[in-house]
Amino acid sequence: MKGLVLKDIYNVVAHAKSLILILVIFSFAFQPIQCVCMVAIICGSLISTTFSVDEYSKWPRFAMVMPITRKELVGAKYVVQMILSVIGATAGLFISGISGLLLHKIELITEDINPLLVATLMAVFLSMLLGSIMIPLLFKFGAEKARIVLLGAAMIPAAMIVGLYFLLEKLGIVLSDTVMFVGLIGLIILILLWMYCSYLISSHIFEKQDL
Amino acid sequence: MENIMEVKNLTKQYSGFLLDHVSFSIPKGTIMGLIGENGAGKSTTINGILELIKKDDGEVLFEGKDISAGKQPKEDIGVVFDEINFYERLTPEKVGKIAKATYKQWNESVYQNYLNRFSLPASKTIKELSKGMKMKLSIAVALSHDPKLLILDEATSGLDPVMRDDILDIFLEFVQDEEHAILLSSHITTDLEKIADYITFIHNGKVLFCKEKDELRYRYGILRCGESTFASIAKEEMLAYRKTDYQYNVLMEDKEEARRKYPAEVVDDATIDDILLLYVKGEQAK
Repeated sequence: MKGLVLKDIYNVVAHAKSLILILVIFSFAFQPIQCVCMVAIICGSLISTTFSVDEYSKWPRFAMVMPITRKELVGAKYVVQMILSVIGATAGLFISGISGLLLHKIELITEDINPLLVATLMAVFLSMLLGSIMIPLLFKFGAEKARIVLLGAAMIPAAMIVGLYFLLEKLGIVLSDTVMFVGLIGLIILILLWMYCSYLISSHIFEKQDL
Repeated sequence: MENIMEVKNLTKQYSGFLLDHVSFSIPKGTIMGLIGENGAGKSTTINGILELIKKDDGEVLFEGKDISAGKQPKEDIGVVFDEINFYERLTPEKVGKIAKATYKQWNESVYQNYLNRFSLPASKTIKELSKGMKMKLSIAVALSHDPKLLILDEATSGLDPVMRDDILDIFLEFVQDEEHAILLSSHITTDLEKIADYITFIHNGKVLFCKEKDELRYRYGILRCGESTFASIAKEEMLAYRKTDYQYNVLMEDKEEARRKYPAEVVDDATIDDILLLYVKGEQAK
């Protein structure tokens, strides 16, 4: 699996250089929390680039003549997506933190830094949620055909959060620190459970494919 | 001779094509050529052997064991397809790192030796390499994890004759060790004439024959005759025939016997190309 992850990271790095400029623009244009979330999600979405590159070079066909199982190939995509999400959120935190301090959007005080750190953690999981919606679609339809479906997929996490917000409001639940904490932990557990289901779905799809 | 690989009744049904119970064995220390026209089933056979497609029937044994049993067979089999499968922005250096992280048996010094021998620049991207260089990189990867069997699917297609000759020499070198073997699918039959020990001919998804190359080259012949001689040849004597405007070209299993029996007619030596053409474009007699 290490070889598969390495291969995807090399391929993403070859494509991701232009992202640095976008990252800097975002850090100046948006609030730090928004920037962290957006950068994490954009980086996590680069998983679709790895599928495009694989298709272009007919990589899965070659990977399967190497000592790699189909399940490992699928698992590696989730690992790569996690790595991309973490790198994206961390880079977003770092750059938006610096630009936020420079532009006086935030100050070096607990009240400003803590929400940014929580947002970074949530950004990682949101990006992973989006990735685990994307990956089965990419295995099923391929990078080219999945593009339109992926647009819809990107809306799902956003719709879920907005829906959750309105639900809480309707039920009259005030977002106290405790409710927020329990909610966040619950959300993380749900995302991890969904990721496992997503892995099983992707494995099932890829297992059946002729290469 | 002990077989390194046995393919038994490999079957795959597609709509409009059936790979029909393909069977052959590859003895250790030999090169098996897989020939057939485009769409005959050569690549489907290789895909079936390598489990890239789900076969409907049959089994593939590697060193006596099911090829799908564990990862060891994949460590021991080097594969080269007709194009490189690494992304074109990677360099041979990075390809080596990926392969090193994947194969337990990866031998970095062997890989570096091949890069030097093939004059492959380690830091140039694959995009910048010629087709021949890309193929050499694929071969370097396939040979650097100490494989016992090489499977090459049209690996020499698209290369110029000089480069093909270099690569064929490497293949011959590989099987000098009597433990190694090669399965080489190619429609360039001259390559197979140079290096193959056995030829398996696939036509319309079926194995027409699996014979020693020398038997084909030194026993088979093409009798060129008119209608009256053709009418006198027993069906059992001929393998295939094709009528042209002026004569019949008849593939005979024993050219010396044909020369004795039909002294007035010309009996030419048969190349693998001739045999393939007569089977594919002509009529099969038996």
